[in-house]
Order: sequence, then structure tokens, then C-alpha cells
Amino acid sequence: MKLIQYISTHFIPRFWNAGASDNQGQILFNYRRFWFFSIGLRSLVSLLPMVILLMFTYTLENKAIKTENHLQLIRFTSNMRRTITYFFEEHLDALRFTVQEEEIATLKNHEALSYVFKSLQRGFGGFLDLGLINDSGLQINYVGPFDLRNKNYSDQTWFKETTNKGFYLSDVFLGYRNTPHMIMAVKKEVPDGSFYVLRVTIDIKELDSTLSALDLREKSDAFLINHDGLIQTPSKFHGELLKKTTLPIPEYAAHSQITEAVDANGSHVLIGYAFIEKSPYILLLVKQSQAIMQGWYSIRKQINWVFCISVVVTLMIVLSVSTFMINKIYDADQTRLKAMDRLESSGKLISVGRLAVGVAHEINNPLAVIGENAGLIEDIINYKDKYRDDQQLKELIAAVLESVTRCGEITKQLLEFARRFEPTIQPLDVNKVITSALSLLRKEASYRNITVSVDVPGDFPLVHSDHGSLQQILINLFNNAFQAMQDGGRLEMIVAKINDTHVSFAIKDNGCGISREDQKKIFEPFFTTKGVKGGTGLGLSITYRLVQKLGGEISVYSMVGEGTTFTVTLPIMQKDA
Amino acid sequence: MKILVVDDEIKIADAMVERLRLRGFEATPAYDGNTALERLRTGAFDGMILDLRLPDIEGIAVLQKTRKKTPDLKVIILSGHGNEHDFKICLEMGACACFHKPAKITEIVEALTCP
Repeated sequence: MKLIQYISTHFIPRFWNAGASDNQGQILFNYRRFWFFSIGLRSLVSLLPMVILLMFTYTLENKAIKTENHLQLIRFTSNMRRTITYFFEEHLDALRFTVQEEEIATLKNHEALSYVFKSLQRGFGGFLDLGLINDSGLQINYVGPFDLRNKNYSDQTWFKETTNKGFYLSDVFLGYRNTPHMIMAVKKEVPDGSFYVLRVTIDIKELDSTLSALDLREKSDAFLINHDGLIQTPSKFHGELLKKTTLPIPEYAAHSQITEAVDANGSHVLIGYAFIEKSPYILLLVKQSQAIMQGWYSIRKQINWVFCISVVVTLMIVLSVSTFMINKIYDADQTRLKAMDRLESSGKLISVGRLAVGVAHEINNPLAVIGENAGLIEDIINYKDKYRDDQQLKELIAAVLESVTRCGEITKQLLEFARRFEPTIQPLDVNKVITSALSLLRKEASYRNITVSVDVPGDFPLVHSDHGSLQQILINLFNNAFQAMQDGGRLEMIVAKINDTHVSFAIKDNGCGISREDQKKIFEPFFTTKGVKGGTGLGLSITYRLVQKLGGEISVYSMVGEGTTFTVTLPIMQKDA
Repeated sequence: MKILVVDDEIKIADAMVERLRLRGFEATPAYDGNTALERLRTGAFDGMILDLRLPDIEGIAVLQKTRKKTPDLKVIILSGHGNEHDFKICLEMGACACFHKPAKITEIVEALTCP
């Protein structure tokens, strides 16, 4: 409940609910539009830089992280390439050294070759077997787990290539031993013009362990393929050993390169690759783009959160500031409207009053002349035999006299209205004033069965005011109430102390009420709803003037059919007293 | 009964005089304050109908002077612009009754004839 109340006071402007209600009809400008405009503009001004900054940050961060990852990957690939190259060079050099150092006779000797094989195995590891082949392709000596002595390799590609180039490095293949391996071979020429080939088989595990030594993150993969795309060392995600990889085969490049691709699962990958020199191998280092950007995504998530909260807070501040501002303007306008209203009506009353009094002064004498002469005519009609029986004349003159009397009544009240008023301020017992004002109406009340109740608090202070004026005010208001009510009505008089300086007298009846339209005019002179036969329309006007003279205010609240309440507010002490 | 009608408005004074005569009074008009005082000095009047606003002297001053010389004179105030305050003063000074113009002749006659 408190939250709702808080929201409604801080975020919903006052004009919102006052919009349709009654006398605030005069709206100086469109608050609703102004409010929306203010919210819109403030939001735009405060949120736009935030959004731009956010987008800018996104782009820059994204780029920076991408660049950094590319550099990192390319560095990694280069290092890796060197390692792999070194691995092959090392093994080739070992073979070359052996061929250079050992006599051919030694190599032909099975015992000696076994010793060499063991030395190589000890020094470098990964050798499966070692064989010596003569220039006709026949394996004349062999150390290893199989019986391959006297096997003829003369028609094999690797033998021909070794013969041509002096060395050979094979792809990985299963062969008939059914384990993935590769062949490395080196040619040795002897002085008699013939040559021999020293050939080793290297377990692929040795190469794989070199690659696995890299500290690769999850979802990253490092492996070798040959130029046809067949996978040479085990890959974690991109295909089976000795099968074609699911990734595209990169274009040849002398240095390490980066390329982007989509893998078999449809996810984006970043590939660092390098062609291993003097070998049929291409090194591939594959990273998931998703994984690379993981760090960025988590940062972005945090930024998004902060942004959302900032937006909400900003909007709340904008809303409450706009509401506060519009409330200030609205209040100021309302106060101004009320002041204007009051000024207008009091100004109108004063000028109309002056005019009326002036007219009354000027008219009263001619009226008296008419009255006297019409009276004389009536007398003549009544006293002279000649006219005594003329009924028509009598009626005519009676009508003139009646009108004169009515006019006289109006001018009399007008002059009373204009009377120089010097209030005699004295402390008054409100109870007594009310009682004396009511005494005039007591008879009518009992005759018409009207209930009159007076409520004055026990400790009510003495009010410093003019006795006659206050009494006149009350009498006028009581009279009006009586005239508005049907027989059996109810009149309530409630006196209350508003604060230390003012008291209020409320006179409430359950009569016919005053329409909203009429409420604006009731204090104007000559405004009456009592018809031709009724009052002069000066009663409330005089009351208004008297209340003003006493330094007070009078207001009316009325609902047609329910009744009317006049409230007179008076100061307890007169200002100059 | 001898009545002096004091009013600067000749038409009003004359009409009033005529109406009083028709009712059996012996009425005489006076159109200003000094004339009124002069008439009072020379003739013995029983009553006076007095306007408060006169061209030469104020009606109240006329009333005041008559109080000293002819305290028995019945004075009826008939004023066009008089207010309750003035009327109150007049009544305190000894006037029998006060009326606003235009007044009913019957009320004036009643005031003149009452003891």
C-alpha cells in the first residue's frame, strides 16, 4: 500500500486525476503533452549517449579481443610448426648421421644394426624398426618386430623418391602391420657407385605426444593432415585418423596463417595452419570461435546488466523529475487561476456595486417624485366624486404605486449597500450573536417545522468583530437557507476554530441547492433566483461586502437537490486591533 | 392640525402638501432649511415633515434647532438618501419617525396623528 502511495505521489502527476474534475476547466496549457514531452526529451538526452557508448564499446572490445586471439593463435601455430619441423629434422639428421658414420659392412651385420637401432631408440625414441635396402630394392638387413628381411621394395614409391632425392618422409599409413606409422628413409652412396637406403618406421604416437604436449584448452584441437586432407595424427573433433577431415583444406602459404571456417557441427571455428617444410604435412590448430569469445561474452553480459539497471534508474529519475516539475507548474497555475478568479469576482462585485449605488442615488429622487405624485393622483381619485367610481383609474394608479414601492425597496437596499461602514470592533460571544440572529426566525421555524441545530464548541474563543455586521451576515444567510428549504427542512449551524487566527461559521441547509452556473453569480448584485416577487438580489451581495469589511471570506458549496453550505471565515482578532 | 412640509424638491413638497390637505391637515410647504426655520418662527405648527438633504442647511441641523425652540413639534424624517445611522441619530434627537422616500402616506399620517 505504501509503495503504491509512493509511486502515485512521485510518478503520477497531480493533473492526471484532476483532469476531468470540475472547476479546473480553464487549463492554461496541455500538461499531459508537456509531461510526455519532458519525459521523452530527458530520456533521449540521458539514454542516447549511454546507448552510443555501449555500442561503441561493443564494437571496439569485440575487435580488440578478435585481434588478440588471432595474434595468439598465429603465434601458437608458428611455435607448433617449429616443433614439428624440428621433430622431423631431428629424426632425419639422426638417420643421416648414422649413414655417414657407420661403415656399410657394419650396417649389413645384423648384430651391429641391432646395436645402432637400440642407440637410436635410446636417443630419440619412437622408432619401430630399422632396415637396410640395397640399390635393387632388396632389404638386406632388418631389425624390428616383423620378419621383413629380403622383402623387395624396388617398385615402391618411397624407394624411388629416396633414390632420386636422397631422403624420404612418408604420409601416415596403416600398412599391413595395421598401426598408424610413417616411414623415413635416407640414401647412402658407396665409392663403387652403388647405393644403399637406410629406412626407419616411426610410431605416430611419438608425433602425437609432441602435439598433445601443448596445453590446449577444451574444444581446441591440434593435428596434422596431409595435402589431400587425410588426418595424420588423432583429432579430437574434426574427423577420424586417416580419414578426410571435415574442415576445408587450406591454401598453400609459406608462413603460418589464420582462416575462419564452419565445422561439421555448424559452429564457427578459427583455424591456424602451417605447411611443414619438406614434408607432406599441414599443421592445423582449431579453436571454437564461441570458446575464444567466451571471455568477451561474460563481460558483455555484465555490461548488459549494468546498462539495464542504469536505464531503469535513469527512467525512474526522469519520470520523477518530470512529475515533480509538472506538479510545480500545475500548482502554480492552479494558484494563479484561483487568485485570478477571486480578483475577477471581487473586482466585478466592487464595480457593479458602485454603479448600482450611483444609479440608486440618481434614481431615488425622481422615484420619490413619481411616488408622491402618483399618491396624489390616487388621493384625488379617492377624494373627488368625479373619479371615485372609475375602477380602471384606481387599478392603474395602484399598479404604479406598487412598482414605486418595489423600486423604493431596491434603492433603499442599494443605498444601505453603499453606506459608509465603520465597524465597531469588540469581543463577541458567538453564541449570543447566533441566538439573537436566530430569534428573528424562530417563529417561522416552528411554523414551518424546520429543525435548527447550532453547534458551537465549548471552549470557543471570543471573536473580535462588529456585532451588527456579524448579525446581519448571519440573518441574511439564515434567511436564504429558510427560503431554499421546504417545510420540515433542516438547518445546521456549525462553528469551528480553523487555527489560532481564524474561525469559520458554516450554515448548511438541505434545500433546493444552487446550480454550478448560478454559484458563480450569487454574490453579484441583483442576481436572484427568487423570481419577480422574491428578493432584490442584494442580500448575498451585502453579505459578501460585510464579510470583506470584517476581513473574512465567504464561500459556497452546493449540490442541486441536496442543499447548500455557506462558510464564512473570520479572523479572531482584527488586524488593526 | 398644522403641518410644515420641508423638501427642496418642489414637486414632492407640493404633492405632499396637497395630499395632507385632502386628509384634512393644514399643510404649508418650505423648499429650504432657512425658509422652514422662518416659517416655524412665525407660525405655530403641530408637525413637520423634514427631508434630510436641503440646499442650504442639513436637515439634521434644522431638527436640532427646532428641538430647542419648539420641543413639542412632531418631526417626521422623510429622506431620499438617509441611512439607518442617520435615522438613529434623528430618533435620538427627538424625531417621531423616519421614512425612506418613497413612503406610504398612510404611514406618515399615522405617525403624525399618534399621540
